[in-house]
Amino acid sequence: MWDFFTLRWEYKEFWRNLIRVGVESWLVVLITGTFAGMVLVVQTGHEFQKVGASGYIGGVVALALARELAPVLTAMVIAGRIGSAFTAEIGSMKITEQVDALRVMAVDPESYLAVPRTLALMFMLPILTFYSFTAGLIGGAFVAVKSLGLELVTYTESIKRLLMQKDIILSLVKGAVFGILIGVVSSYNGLETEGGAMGVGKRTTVSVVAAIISILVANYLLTLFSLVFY
Amino acid sequence: MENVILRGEDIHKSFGQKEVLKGITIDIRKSELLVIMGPSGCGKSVLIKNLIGLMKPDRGRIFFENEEVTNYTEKEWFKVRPKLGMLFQGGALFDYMTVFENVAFPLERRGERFNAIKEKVHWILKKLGLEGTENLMPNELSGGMRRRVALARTLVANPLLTFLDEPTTGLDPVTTANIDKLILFLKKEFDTTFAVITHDVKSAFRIADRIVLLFGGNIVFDGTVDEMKRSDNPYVRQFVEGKAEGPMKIEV
Ligand SMILES: Nc1ncnc2c1ncn2[C@@H]1O[C@H](COP(=O)(O)OP(=O)(O)O)[C@@H](O)[C@H]1O
Ligand SMILES: [Mg+2]
Repeated sequence: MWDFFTLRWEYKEFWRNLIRVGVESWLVVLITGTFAGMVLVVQTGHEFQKVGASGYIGGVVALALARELAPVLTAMVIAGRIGSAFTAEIGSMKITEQVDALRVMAVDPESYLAVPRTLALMFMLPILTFYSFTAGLIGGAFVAVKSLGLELVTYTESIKRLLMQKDIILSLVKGAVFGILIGVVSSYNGLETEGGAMGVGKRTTVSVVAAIISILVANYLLTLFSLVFY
Repeated sequence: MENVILRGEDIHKSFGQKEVLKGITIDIRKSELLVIMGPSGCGKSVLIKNLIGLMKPDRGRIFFENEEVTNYTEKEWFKVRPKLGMLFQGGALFDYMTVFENVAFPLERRGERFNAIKEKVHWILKKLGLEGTENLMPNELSGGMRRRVALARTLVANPLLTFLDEPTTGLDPVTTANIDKLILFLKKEFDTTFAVITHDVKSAFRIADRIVLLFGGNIVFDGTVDEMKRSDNPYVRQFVEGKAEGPMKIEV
């Protein structure tokens, strides 16, 4: 379905969707990131303190967030929030013949609708992932200081010691890959929509489930790959 | 043949068990205004979608400017489409764009300059009685206004061959008459070829060079306005006079 050689650069649609993805998802990403960091500290904190490993709390939380939780949780949330909206929107354009209208005006629906949305997600998801990661660290710090009685410097020093640049890179790469996945799956399902408003509903559900499963599978593969690579 | 722009030959189309088009042969000749009539659900929209490559016929052949396009890929169709225009029955306005952006869209896509676009858009909106709606969204318009905006978007591009799927259905008779006038003006001024679907017999008689009547998946009449008026074809008589009794049996 993708013919990258005939693609126009649809900068207008790209910007419109890029901004939209950011605006519509920053809050929910902030909330999920913060709580993920908080719960990680709650779960690891007491055990680590018991064995006298308080100095590892910050680092372990940072690694878990950077490598797995921030990219996966962010992608899940975006699949639910933005992927579903993309499918519903393109799907309703399909059933109201707006997609056919594009075709008659010699505009390729894939390069006009699917590609800019996919690129917008590919660029925005790493940013949101990093943002979620940061929120998680701050949430974790809050719990570590307030409820475990840890010194803030112990927490931050631990992060500095354990967290490597490659972990951040893996995080961002995962974000970009998940962005592409969500974009392709949601656009494809939108363009394949048939059968009225019910069809839109059905396709939207299928799209979100498919995106989440492909995110989980891709995440597993990327993690394996990263171990070989480093 | 040389004055035929588009030809559909023995076009068949079914959806599941339902045979909608049963072998239709239709010519659209250069510079003519062809009206396609027929009861709702008889396959008029499906026919023109097959003719411009939005649907693939199950059987039959399509020629555009004497070149066979039946098996064109979507990419090949993109080379033909700049010469075509289509008003969809439902309007198909882009609902995330304003009226101005909708009407400007086809011009923008072919790279016209903003000032030229602005002038053309304002001209066509004025012609269709839509001044002042430029910045409204489609969902802020009445049904009749939406249809006229969609018509504006189709006509502003002024393609060689323009299909209009029920441009005036649901509009008042005065607006209908104005739209008919505009279509005739464009035809004369730019030598545009039109294929217009309508149920409105009065409007059809006003604009048509030739009329085809579709029923039951076949063409049951093909002729000029005068021929239609004089015809004693029972399908024609029933349709023109709007009678429930006759050879057209329609389940209600
Ligand atoms: N995409 C489709 N899938 C299934 N059936 C369709 C589709 N499009 C049209 N039909 C059927 O084809 C028949 C003709 O439809 P249409 O061409 O829209 O009629 P009209 O003459 O009123 O324009 C209708 O019975 C309709 O239900
Ligand atoms: Mg129709």
